[in-house]
Amino acid sequence: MEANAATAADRRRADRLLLEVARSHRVWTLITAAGTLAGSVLVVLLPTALARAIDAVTTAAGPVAGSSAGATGPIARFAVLLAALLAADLLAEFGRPYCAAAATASLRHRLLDRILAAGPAATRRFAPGDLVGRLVGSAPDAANAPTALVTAAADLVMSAGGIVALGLIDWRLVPAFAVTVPVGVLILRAFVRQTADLAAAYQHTQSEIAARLLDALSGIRTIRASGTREIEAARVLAPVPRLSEVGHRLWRSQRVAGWRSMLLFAITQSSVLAVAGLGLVQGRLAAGQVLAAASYAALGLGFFSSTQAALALSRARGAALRLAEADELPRPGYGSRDLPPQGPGELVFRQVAVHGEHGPVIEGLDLVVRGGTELAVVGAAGSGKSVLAALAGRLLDPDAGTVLLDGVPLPQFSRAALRGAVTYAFERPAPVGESVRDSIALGGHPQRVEAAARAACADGFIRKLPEGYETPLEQAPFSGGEIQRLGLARALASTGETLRVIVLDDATAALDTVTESRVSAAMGCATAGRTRIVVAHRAAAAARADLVAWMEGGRLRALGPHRELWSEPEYRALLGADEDAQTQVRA
Amino acid sequence: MKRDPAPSAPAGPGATRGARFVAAEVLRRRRALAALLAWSVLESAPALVSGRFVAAALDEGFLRGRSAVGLLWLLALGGATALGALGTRAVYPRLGDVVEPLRDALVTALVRAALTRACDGTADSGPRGAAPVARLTRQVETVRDVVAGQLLVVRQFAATAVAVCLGVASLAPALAAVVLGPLLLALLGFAVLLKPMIGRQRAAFLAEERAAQLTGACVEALRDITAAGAEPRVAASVGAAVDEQYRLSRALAGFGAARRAIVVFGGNVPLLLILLAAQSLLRRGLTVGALVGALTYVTVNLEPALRTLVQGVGASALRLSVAVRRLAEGGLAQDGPVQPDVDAGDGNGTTAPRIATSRRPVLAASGLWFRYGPQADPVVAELDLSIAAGERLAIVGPSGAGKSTLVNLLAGLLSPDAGHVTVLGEPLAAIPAPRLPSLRTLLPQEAYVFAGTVRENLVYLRPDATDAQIGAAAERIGAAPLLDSLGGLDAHLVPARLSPGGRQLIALVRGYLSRAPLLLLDEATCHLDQGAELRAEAAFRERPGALVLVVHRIGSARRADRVLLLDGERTDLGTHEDLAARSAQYAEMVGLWHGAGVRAPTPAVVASAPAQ
Repeated sequence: MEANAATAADRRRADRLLLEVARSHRVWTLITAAGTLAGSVLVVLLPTALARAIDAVTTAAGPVAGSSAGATGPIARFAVLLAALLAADLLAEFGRPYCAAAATASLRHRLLDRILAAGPAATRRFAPGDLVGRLVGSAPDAANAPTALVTAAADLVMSAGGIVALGLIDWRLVPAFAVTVPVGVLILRAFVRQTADLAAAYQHTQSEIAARLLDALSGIRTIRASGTREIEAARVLAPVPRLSEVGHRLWRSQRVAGWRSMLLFAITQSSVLAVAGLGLVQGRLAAGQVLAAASYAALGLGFFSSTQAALALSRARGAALRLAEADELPRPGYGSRDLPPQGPGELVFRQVAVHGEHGPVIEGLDLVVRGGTELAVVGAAGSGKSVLAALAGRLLDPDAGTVLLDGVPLPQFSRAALRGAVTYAFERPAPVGESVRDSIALGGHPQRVEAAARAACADGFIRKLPEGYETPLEQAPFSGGEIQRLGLARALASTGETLRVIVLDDATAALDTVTESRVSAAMGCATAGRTRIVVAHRAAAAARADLVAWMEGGRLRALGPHRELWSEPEYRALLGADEDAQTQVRA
Repeated sequence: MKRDPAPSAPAGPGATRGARFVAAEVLRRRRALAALLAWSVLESAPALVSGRFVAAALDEGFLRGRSAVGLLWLLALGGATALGALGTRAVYPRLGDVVEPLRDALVTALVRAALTRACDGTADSGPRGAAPVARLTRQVETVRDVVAGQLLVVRQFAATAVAVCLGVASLAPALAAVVLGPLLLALLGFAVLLKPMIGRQRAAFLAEERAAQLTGACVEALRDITAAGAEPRVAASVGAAVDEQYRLSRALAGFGAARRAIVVFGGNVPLLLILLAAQSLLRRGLTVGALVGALTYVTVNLEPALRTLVQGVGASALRLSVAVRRLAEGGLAQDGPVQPDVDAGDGNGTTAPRIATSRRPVLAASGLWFRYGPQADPVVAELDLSIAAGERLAIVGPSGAGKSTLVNLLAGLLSPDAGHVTVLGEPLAAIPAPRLPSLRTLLPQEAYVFAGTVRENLVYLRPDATDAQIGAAAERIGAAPLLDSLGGLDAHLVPARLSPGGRQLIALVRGYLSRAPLLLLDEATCHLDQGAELRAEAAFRERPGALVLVVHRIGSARRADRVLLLDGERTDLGTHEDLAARSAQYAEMVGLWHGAGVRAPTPAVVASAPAQ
């Protein structure tokens, strides 16, 4: 997709990136290139050297009887050439993986730094899977670019060299070779067209089986309880015969390419050998040159397989393009200022605007959150609540306007100062690290983990895990509510003396109401005196806050205490007069 | 799943098991393998005659000035090559005959293993289902590709090598040794190289996987990492994995060089030896044509075949060994014949116990105790419980209190550490698994709907239900409009197109149709709106038998006969009114579920919007 839309400037950037990488490992790149190219030249020279040696040997032994010393020179030359070829190939074979590995690692480091520097902005620009794909898949592909370029050049040298060498032996051999080219083109085209459809059908059937298995696995509790495992296995496997049939057809279509390319080889070989043989009769060629002609014809046919090197090269460039795009990620950076001493944690939004793809996300936002107060942010989906929360701790830089903490614009703070002053808990916290303890201690203080987990009502279920706090994350299938409590614990674990603002972005949405109220109380204690910004859906949370910011369409629709806003029907509708509250009214 | 695999991890018994499975499946296709071998002989026909025919063309034709004879021999060579092409043409379908059944066997074994392991609760953790599905698609395809590729390459090399040796020997027996010697040495060297090479490749591959996994976790957590200021820490840990991968893949460079040397030794050195030997052999009657023919064998046939073998086997052997290990992790080959543990049709429908006449409690538990690990806190401790026919018990409690665990214990899906559960007086532990579904039905929160007709989905627990019975059940539950919108009972159901609420309605009709005297609903109505939930609950109230509900709305608890409150290790059992009166936790829960938002907020205005 990106490759199609790529402009010339994009391509230049991608090529520049490749050049930079090649240059940073220039010694090994040059060694590899020299080895590969020298190898390809030597491969072209080898059949001629062999032919000379054959002819020298036969002449020396022949009735005309030269001295046997006459053969030693050409054989020695052939041996030297062979040794040189081996040396060149060893360099190339050794250098190629060396280059590729080094370039892959430096591209990955570079991209990783860019991604981490961009932070959440990176995943706003690219889907997470896409970014991982660039780092994991595109980096090695792009790292292959220098060697792919050299290999493509070497392939060209060999097949062109083969044809030129044919012409040097006898010009008549070239037309004998060229006759077969159109046949080769036809063979290649027929193959590509045929297999594409079948391969698609094959993958389709395969994913059908996979989908059935996923369905069954997601309903495994029902299947266990109903004792229907065998029936389910049969159901999942039902498409297998169809898969098998398509598979057999794929093999039948593959044979076309296989045997046709052998036919091509047969035709070329015979026609070149025939012309060479006639040349022998007419005294234009020596016997050794007949063998050389056969070898050169085979080299020349390598042209058809050199499409692979060209493919690798274009893949490398495509990958470089993808890396260059990611290289352009925004780099917010940090300032160098420390927190002003004894600030209350006052947040000021001044004429803040954030642009989205389809118009403004936040517009003309002016808001002062006094130090030590709790602000609830409410609003319908897409009203800009979470964006406001992200702005408060600089998870997002506004496109216009300023956000200040205790009088200092956020970008002026050093990373340590800002992250020590503002902490977050999210609706869906992402697990990071090896163990549950690691994940809670992210960016914080390991000794505070258990106290923080207790305050977040997470201690209980963590202790029920097989290895408690040391349980590996991947062996702990948490529910949504449990993950949220881990996120709250993480936020609490990072609250040090420097904390001034805590932002809860829908961080209790998946908790049942009892747990939510307990957690809120504990959070209130642990963060007493700090400024709190709470994105909320429930009336209870809004009621607990000192002030409610009601967002609508990216603008601040109203700001006031919950009980004042409650008189507005739209506000009540927004906070969903609870279903159970309704039942109670009815009862 | 092993964590942090040591980079030099050996293949392990898992890989051996998997390899044995693959090898056994391949060897079972004797006829296909024999056919493959037969066609391979034909395919190697040109390799067998190429040098001989070239020698003849030169000696009997061109070198004697008899062009026609020479051309005739070359024509014969072309014919032999065409014949070989026919062999190639026949080889591919035979390859399919070996490899396609292998794939079928792998898929079948994996699907069974995945279901069995999920049922036994030994399923992979992590994103549910991702690992089995990756095995099903990627790893199986890798095995299929590689086994086919290896069969092609190894078989072709073997046939070519034999043909070349025979051919050279027929031209000049003395030269055969000169060709065979270096070739055998090269193969020996390759065999020695193969094992350490695959080991190193595997280490590099695992390091790559680890780097990918850490990168994925990092990218998924970018917001959290930034918010916590943990960039340096994460950069260091992911960077270390990247560097480790670099170190290990760099170490592979030497193997590439060694492989190249092997090809030169086995494929090119014989040329030199033939030339050296020829000096004396020519004087003793070796013809020029025979010399060129022998060299043709080596350059045109042997060297390319050896190169393909050495380059192809190394890389794909790694892919195969990794894929086979992944498959073995998926339970391949430890599967064995699956016991027919259930005869679902029988167990579910025909032996419906007589509920009405039974005086025993439908469900009873005493001294129930359960925890997930020896170090873990108990989820259920000393629980006693008894439910009579016609009674409805609601289980309430905060999230994570262990409600679903308790339901699993009551349904016999989990065994308690102490205490026991009885259904209609029979201890669950003593009831054979196939009979359980006829005694109790469990509807979990995640309703299971599968690709099949609507009817198949509905009669899942009662295969003999008539259309009239299905219709009546759907009407009771309130699923009739849904069934109509799906296109009736015979319509084909696509699970992905059904909403979570729709899935639950299907499961509820299924549960209603079941004849089991005990019905356990674990938040089985949580995706329904309140009206639909009320209607479904009312339907189940009329159904004979006992009902256990895990509820997420307090209204459902109020409508139940009794309520079991789970909160950590404390449990409390009583009617709604009892609990509301005596349990602070329950009162808190009821109050909160009702009255969110009615508490007065603090009056002080402590924040303000500046004037615009």
